[in-house]
Amino acid sequence: MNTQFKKGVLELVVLMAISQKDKYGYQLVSEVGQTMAVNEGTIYPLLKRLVNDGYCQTYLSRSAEGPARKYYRITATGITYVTMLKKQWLDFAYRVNKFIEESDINDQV
Amino acid sequence: MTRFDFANKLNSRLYLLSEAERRDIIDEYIGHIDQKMKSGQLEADAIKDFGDIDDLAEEILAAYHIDSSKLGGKTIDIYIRQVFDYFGTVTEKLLGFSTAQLARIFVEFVVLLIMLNLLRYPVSFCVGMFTQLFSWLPYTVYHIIDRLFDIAANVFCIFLSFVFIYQFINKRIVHGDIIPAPLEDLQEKTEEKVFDTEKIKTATARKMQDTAEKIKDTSEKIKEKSETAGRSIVDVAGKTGRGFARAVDKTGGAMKKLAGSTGDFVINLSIILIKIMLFLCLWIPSVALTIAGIVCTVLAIIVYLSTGIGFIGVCIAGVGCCVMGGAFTLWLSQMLTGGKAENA
Repeated sequence: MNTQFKKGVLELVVLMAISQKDKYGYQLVSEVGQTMAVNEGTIYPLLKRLVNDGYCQTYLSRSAEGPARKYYRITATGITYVTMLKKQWLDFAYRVNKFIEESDINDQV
Repeated sequence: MTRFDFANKLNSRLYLLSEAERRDIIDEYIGHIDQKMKSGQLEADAIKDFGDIDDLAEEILAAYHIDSSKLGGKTIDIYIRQVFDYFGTVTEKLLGFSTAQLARIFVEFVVLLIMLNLLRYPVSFCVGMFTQLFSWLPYTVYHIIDRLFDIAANVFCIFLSFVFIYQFINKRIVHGDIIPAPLEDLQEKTEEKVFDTEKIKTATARKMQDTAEKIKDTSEKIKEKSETAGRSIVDVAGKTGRGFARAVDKTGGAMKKLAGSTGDFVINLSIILIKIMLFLCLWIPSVALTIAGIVCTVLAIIVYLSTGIGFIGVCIAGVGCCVMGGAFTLWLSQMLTGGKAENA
């Protein structure tokens, strides 16, 4: 898939994934990786930016095996932001799809 | 590359961030690698999934709204670090080769050197032919041209040698895919590398435990004969075993810390030394060149004005020296201080 496509949508997908349930890094990477093939390295910098911009918070929680894990939790501003992003994406995808359908019809005529 | 190497490399590339931030980021990556190793992936593969380490560092810095390309990020510090990284990889690879492979690389390297040496003859022959074209010029001029071409030919040969040697190291040592090691050997090595220190540590601890357990067994036999004496021996054995394991753990940690700080110290020291060398060998001469150029130009102008003798040539040479020396000085000062000043 086109990397330029992914870059824009990755933020939305990651925020949606966190808004369902608090998650730790590895969990997020494997979950997002199922939706779209991304370089694992790019998700951590994105998470860092989301925290720096105040859309997420982190907290440490003990795990059954091994050391404590860093969990990501969405903040109130994050929820507002992801709602807006989702709306923008749906609207955008709808317009693009419509455009593609129309130009396909024109091609046939 | 082990995850400690990965952490060190990332750490040096994120030098703009505070220590706490760096530790936080690196801990997360190490945790990720550990988790992947637990799920059965090899350490090297898990690290490879992160892609190019320079790109990764750039992306992390972008998360702090730092544009590393605009920061003069490619200052001399980064170059030197890259050189160190490169030599580190080369040594690491060399250590991993078998004796037969090392011998082969050595022979190939000697052949390469001989071939590079032979390359000088055709080059100097061509240059000699070319210089002959100027033989009609007055002897002094011809002599100077001859000399200049000679120097140019030497520089060309040295440059070419560097390129070839660099290519050779890259192909034969860094990528090393031309001469694959025997498969079993390779598997053993990767497996050994995966757990490294952790494995050794746990192994030692386990051995201690085994010993303790053996002592326990023996003491159980004694227990049958005399219960009280046996119980005390069990206690002592368990305690010794545990104490031993703890001591091994502690020494391991201290050693690792010591090695890390020494490495950092050596790199920082050499950066300072290289900067001083650059300053002494390049900066001072180029400043001197600039000053000499200015003096020459002024003198030439004075002589020209007072006697009318055409010293325009000297004038041009003086201005040339000025411009070249000045530009070089500026470039060097920017390399030595520019990046740092902007970062601060």
